[in-house]
Amino acid sequence: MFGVSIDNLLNLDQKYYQMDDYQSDIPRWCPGCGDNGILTATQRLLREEQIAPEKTVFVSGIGCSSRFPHYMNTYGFHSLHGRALPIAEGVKIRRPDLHVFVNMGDGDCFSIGAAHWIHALRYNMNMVAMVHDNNIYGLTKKQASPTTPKGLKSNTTPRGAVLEPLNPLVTTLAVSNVSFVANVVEWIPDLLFDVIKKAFHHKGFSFIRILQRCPHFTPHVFDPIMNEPDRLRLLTHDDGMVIPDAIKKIYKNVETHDPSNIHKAREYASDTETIPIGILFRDESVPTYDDIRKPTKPNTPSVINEALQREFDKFGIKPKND
Amino acid sequence: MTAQKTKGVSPSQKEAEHLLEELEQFAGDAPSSTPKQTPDRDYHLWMEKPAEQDDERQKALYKKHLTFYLGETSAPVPEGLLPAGLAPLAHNPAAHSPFPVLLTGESGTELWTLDHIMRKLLEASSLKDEALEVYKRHLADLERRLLNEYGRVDHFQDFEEVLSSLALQAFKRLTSANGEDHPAVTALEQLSMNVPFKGLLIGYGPETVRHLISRSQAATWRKSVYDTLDRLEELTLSINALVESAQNAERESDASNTAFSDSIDFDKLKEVVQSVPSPSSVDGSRLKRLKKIADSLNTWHDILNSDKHAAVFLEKFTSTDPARAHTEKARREIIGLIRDYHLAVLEEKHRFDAGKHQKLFDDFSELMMSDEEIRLIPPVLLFLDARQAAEHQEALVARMLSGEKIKISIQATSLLDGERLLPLYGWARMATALNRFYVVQTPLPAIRDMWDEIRGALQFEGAAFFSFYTLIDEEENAPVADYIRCGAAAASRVFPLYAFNGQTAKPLSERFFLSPEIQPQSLWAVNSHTVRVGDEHGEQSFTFTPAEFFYLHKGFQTHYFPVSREEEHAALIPLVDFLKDTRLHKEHLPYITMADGNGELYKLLVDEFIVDQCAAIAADWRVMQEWSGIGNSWAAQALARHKAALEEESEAKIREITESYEARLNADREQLTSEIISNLAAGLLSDEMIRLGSGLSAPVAAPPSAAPEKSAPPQEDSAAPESAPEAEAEEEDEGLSFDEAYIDTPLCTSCNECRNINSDMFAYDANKQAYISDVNAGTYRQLVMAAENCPVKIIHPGKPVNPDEPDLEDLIKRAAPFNG
Repeated sequence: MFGVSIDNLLNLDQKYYQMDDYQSDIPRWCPGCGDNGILTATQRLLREEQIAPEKTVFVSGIGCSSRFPHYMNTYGFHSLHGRALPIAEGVKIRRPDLHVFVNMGDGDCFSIGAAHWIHALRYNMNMVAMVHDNNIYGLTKKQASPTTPKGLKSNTTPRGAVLEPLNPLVTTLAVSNVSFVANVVEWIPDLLFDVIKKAFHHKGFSFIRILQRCPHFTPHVFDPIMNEPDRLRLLTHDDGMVIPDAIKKIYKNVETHDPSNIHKAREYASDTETIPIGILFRDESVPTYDDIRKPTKPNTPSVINEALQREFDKFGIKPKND
Repeated sequence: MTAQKTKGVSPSQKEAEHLLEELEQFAGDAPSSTPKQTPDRDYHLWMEKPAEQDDERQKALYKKHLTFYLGETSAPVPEGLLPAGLAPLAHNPAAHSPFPVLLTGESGTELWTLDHIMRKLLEASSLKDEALEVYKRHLADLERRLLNEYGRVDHFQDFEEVLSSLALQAFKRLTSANGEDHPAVTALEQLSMNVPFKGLLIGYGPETVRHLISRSQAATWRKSVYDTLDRLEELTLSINALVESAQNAERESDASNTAFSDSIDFDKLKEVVQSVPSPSSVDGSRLKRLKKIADSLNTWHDILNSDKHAAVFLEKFTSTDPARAHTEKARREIIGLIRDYHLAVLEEKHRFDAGKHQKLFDDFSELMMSDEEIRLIPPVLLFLDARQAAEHQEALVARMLSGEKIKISIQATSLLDGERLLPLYGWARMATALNRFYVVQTPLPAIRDMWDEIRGALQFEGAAFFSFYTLIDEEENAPVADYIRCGAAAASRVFPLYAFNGQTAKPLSERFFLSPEIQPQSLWAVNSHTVRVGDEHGEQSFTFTPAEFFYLHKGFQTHYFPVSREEEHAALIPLVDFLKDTRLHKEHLPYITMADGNGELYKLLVDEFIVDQCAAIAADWRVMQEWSGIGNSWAAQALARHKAALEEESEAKIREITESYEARLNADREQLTSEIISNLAAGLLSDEMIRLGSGLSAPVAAPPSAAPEKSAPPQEDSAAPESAPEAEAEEEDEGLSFDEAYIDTPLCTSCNECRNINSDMFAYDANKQAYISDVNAGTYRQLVMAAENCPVKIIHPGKPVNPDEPDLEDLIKRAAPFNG
């Protein structure tokens, strides 16, 4: 090879992003908190896809999980309790060029934000929503959340939770226009990364419920699941997620599930004995709201730049005799 | 014609008749180019049967001819003799020169001969039946005029112009005598106004090659520029528009595109920009820059938009002077074009940033261009004639060895000088031997056959070498037309048509191309003609050797000696046979067959000088054949070796089979013998014998001795399995060792617990998952603590590295659950 293309020379300053480029602050989560794993998997995704930090927005509500944007060196929006989704939708409709991620806790999403959750599913806008489900309100020191198991003693239920917990997967799969539903646990990092990656590449609203250990308040809920690998039912399919052999050696309960089959997905979701892990449902054909209601005046930098340049050309070059 | 007249049918036929007569009169007026053609209408070869000679006379004749062969005597050769293989062609009135040729086609890449042009013209007329016949006659006349007037003009003409003026003349001439509209006349009128295809008419001459090559090269180059810089045209327009709009900026105060006006307040923006003190210096520079780019691109646009301009541009770099200055200039200009192209791309997208890019474009050089762009730098075209090449021999050789991308064309107007063969083809052979050159060698009349190869050489990315032979005969009244003599040079192997592909990656036989026109498979080209001997007609083939070719050159004619029919004798053999076998040289003499103007065959004795020349050329030709894979001696040798090896192998096999068969036969024979003996013995030692109580045991002692042999192998087998499990057990032990500390890195959830304990001992990998970077960087206690704190329990502390650590026993106990 003799010459270097001029295009390459002009792109010399283009950066290759490392994991550290996406990290802004040292996470202040409790020792051993499962949120760390989710943060790492997300950063790994951004690095693998080489997404510029300035092209990414993380929106969160209130809670332990919602500290997420603080630790990402990208745009972030630490918003109101339960209101992460409407804000994310606002960002997406005006700036379709940005990649939008939403991080919510179980209390945040399934309780105070439940209405937004249902409608965000129905709107099906192109973003990734991750629910860090630790079955408890952790930041406010142990109050029962919608997913707290029956009988768990908390500050609001000192004699044990009285209600059956909400099953968010069943709820999600019942909403019309749902296009991507996955369930995963944060302590199998490879599967977590794979699910987030699949969600990122899905065009539409990708809902991921992540079972996240809270070592401080709910260790007795998650330790039994961790110690009994067979309680996890790993869903594999050539069209969905392929489970690596190394993981199959530890988690032997693997079943083939076609993610286009919503009835089977609902069946797996409502099973109380085992926890389905993987992509439960995916439908690429569902139209997204950002396509249906395409903004007439998006505020993307290229549009603004083009308009500015056009104007600058008029002012910029003056005839000599002026 | 007369037959038609007697029938006298339709009026249109009559009219056609009339036109034909007109035409014949007209054609008769025109000066004929080959006046000797007329008497030779039906030329054929013939000879009388040779007279029988007695032995003594034969010996005397042999002696006489031998003195000539050795160069001691000579005799004048009769006038008007031609090589017998060539004579029917030379006397054929239908044969004519392929020149002028037409360079046409998409971007001037096709070469049409006169025949081709006429065929196309006839197709374009869409006439039928007798009208077509009449039109054909007109065209034949046009063809003759083209041949006469433009066949030997060596500068190119616009075909459209030439043909329409000729057609107009013919049309006028016909209509002055006959005003009626015959379809053929109408077609001719149309032709005078509208020629169906364009191109350049190029005649035969010393400059022909130069025009053809530089035109074709310009077309190729122009296309490659457009292919590589595919947006050039569009960019030129948009940069011009940009300059225009910049200059009109003052007048156009309104935003023409208001789509974004509500997003940005442009009026306010304008105020801001105008309030800035003195922006004009910066802005002026952009306008200046834009204007400069526009100027440059417009100039190039003009150059690149026609083959003519491009050829003129390239012509600047052609020079008979082997100097570098012109090449350098071309190189700089193309680099300038590519720089301006990239600048234009940036400017058009408003991406040009003076601070960032100015320096880059100031120092723009070849190093910044892609391979494709570097290929656009046009190659140097060097046209030399053989004399110039000989004068500048040293410089030319240096240039060829320098390895630069150069296209050299050497043209000879004569191969023979006095009594000497000029070493012209030596140049082509040298270029071929250099291996990197794309070499094409052809006499000019055969250029159509080699046109694909010439185009290939011009498109070839490396150096190319063309060797042309354009005979410009200075002798008066040459017996044979120039184009036939040129072709003869190729057919006689003196100047073979060949091409050698410069792509070194291909196998040699694929790279070397010998034109099928010159019968490359055989040693000499052969022509067959009907010959009448006495009263019998028969096919006779005539080879065409260099001796025949040399004869066409006057300076060589002293080497030939006429043999009259009475003087023929048995010792005379054809030159071809004489060359084949040197043993024949002792008692035989070579001759070649010639024909005179009436077709009578003569024999010409050839002397030693010619024979030596022929032998040398034959040897060279053999080498060329081998290169092109014909009669490959290496392949033959390899084949012979392979065959010998195969034969040896099969012999060995036969020997082996015979031996084993004999061995088996012997074994069977022995067994049979022993069986017979034992049977005999058993018979003999029957009851009576036993009763005799001799106690002799039968000689069947073999079975007991065979038994222990058979039982031996299982003993060895049984010994082996005992040792195997031991080895396996050892391997397993190694695999189960937990002495070293490790982390199941893929399962790490990046919670930072271990790194909070000791960030030197634990580190994160590229995926931010922990591993033990240095087990000696901390204590075993820290390792065990990390294992206990790890929420996913993936740290395995192993055994302590330092045996002197306090409380080791306790720690090992704590570590045990994580090592399991």
